Amino acid sequence: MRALIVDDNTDYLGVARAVLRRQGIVVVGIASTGPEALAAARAHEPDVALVDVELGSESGFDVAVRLSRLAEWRTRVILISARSQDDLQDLIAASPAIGFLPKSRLSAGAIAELLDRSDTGGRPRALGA
Amino acid sequence: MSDAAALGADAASAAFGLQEMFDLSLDLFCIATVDGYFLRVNPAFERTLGYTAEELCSRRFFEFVHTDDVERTHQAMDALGRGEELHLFENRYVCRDGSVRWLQWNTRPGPAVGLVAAAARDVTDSRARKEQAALRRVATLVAHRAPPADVFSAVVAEAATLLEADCWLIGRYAPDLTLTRLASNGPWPALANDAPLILEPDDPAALVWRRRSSASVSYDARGQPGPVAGHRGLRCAVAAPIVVDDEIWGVMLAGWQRPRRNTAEAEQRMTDFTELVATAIANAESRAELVASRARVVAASDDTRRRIERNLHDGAQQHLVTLALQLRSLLSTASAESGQLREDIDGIASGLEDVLEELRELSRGIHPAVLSRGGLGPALRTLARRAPLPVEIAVRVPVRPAEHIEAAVYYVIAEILTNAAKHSRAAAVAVEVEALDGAVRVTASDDGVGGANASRGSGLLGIRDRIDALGGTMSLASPPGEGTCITVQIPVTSREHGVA
Repeated sequence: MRALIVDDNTDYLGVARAVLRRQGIVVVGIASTGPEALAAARAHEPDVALVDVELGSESGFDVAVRLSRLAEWRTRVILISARSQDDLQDLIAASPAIGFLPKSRLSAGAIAELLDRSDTGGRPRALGA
Repeated sequence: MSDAAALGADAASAAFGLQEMFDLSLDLFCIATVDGYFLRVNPAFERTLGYTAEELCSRRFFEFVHTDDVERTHQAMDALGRGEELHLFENRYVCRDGSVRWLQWNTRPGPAVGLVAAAARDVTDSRARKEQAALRRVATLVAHRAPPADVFSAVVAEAATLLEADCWLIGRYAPDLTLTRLASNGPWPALANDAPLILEPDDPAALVWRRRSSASVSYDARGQPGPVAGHRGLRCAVAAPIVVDDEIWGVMLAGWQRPRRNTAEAEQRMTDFTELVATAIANAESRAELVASRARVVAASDDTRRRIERNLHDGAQQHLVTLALQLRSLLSTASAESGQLREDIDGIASGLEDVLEELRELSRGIHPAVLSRGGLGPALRTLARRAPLPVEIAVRVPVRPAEHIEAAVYYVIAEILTNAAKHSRAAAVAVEVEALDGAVRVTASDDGVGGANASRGSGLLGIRDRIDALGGTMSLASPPGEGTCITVQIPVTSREHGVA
């Protein structure tokens, strides 16, 4: 599985990339801003983009919309945040993302589960919801 | 007593009465000629004006009349010369000691051509009382915090009756030395429209601006072109400054269509009024400043909370999340044999999650991040989900209002829900937020026990402070046993309107 990680916190980007790689995911790119994320998605054609809902002054929800509308390549978006899902529920439901993962619980298994649910036509759900 | 003797006694007593009345009267009596000489004056004349009868009779009485009233007095004497009676005519006399007394006259032409009989009363004090009463009426308005516009109109109306000027104006200066009319009456020729008046250097209003004190200007009968007062037809204009907080703010102008030589008195009386006007303006400005400063305090506190929440999230929270992820990852790579180690790591990871959750709870209390991100709808629905009692919420605000309005609406509803959960014993609360023309309205009603009171140390007091700071209103209906309904309306200025 090929993944793109989008977050403006560089410490987290490094750790997340290492963790996912160790679990067998090919991290094809990391990005800190919306434009970087779109460029990386076009260049590396990831299966999934993990997008922090807060990217400094940018909204991760907006980036999710732009990623999901990419004409060249279909990337599925999973939103991630240090905030709780409950606080963001309305915004997650309104976004084209297939689901949400808390940043402390990012794992290959959790990502695969969300992708499976999305593939089988299940409603986008978050881990443990 | 014989008839003749009785008649004689009556005649004598009648004569006796007239003379004594003339001598003892507190009012002034005189016989005068229409061309301006007193022939006979009673002692009250001497007492009132301080001149002896001899002095009064030795000169034309116009010389005792206040210069600004001489022309009118001449006109009055002309009317008497034509055989007309004069009732309640008022003019000023200058006493021997230089003071000025107002006399009110009733005068009748005599049977002999050119003679008049007149009675006068000193009305100086009653005129002063009238003036005091007028000032008091204006002062009462000011004390009752009437809007400045009402005070301006009242001053113009009161001054018009007191000072007998033909036109009045209160205006405000702009830094480019134009004058904007705030209240006026009478025929100011230059005031055909409401455009600011450009002040010529010799305009009385311009003189006041330069000198920071009252000024008067006289015009000749032709009326030189120029001054703002639009003096065509005016022979005299007097202007008094309105000084607010040591700054020259505006001016009060009076105009006369007949010449006036002595304007000091008018200037003094106008100053009495302009001081009241200045007080009204200062009061209104300090109230506006108070409201603005309260709004600034609230906005500053909101900003601080937003920043603290942001820093918590970007700093400690992100750091802890990264550590937690590393621990989880470590757990997945630890070998199956090291059971105790796995258990320990798992325990630490759970502990970290607990700390993270506590931190989130703390952050939410400081500032709801979702409000900045998603606006009122998502933020209020999150609030409703977390409330300890069922909340039905409807948000109909199509365009996002300014941040401080959103924050106010959010905190108001948060407080209402907290209050309902604590005190109302309600089964549910319904909250509606809607955008009106120029305002946002919040209506919250519950089916609880009622009896809520905004003055009784509850959170409702905090709501009220926040709403007041934004110039909003709140109404509370909470009859015992019938639930509580709170309506809050917060104005949204047009600039904020339509800004997403």
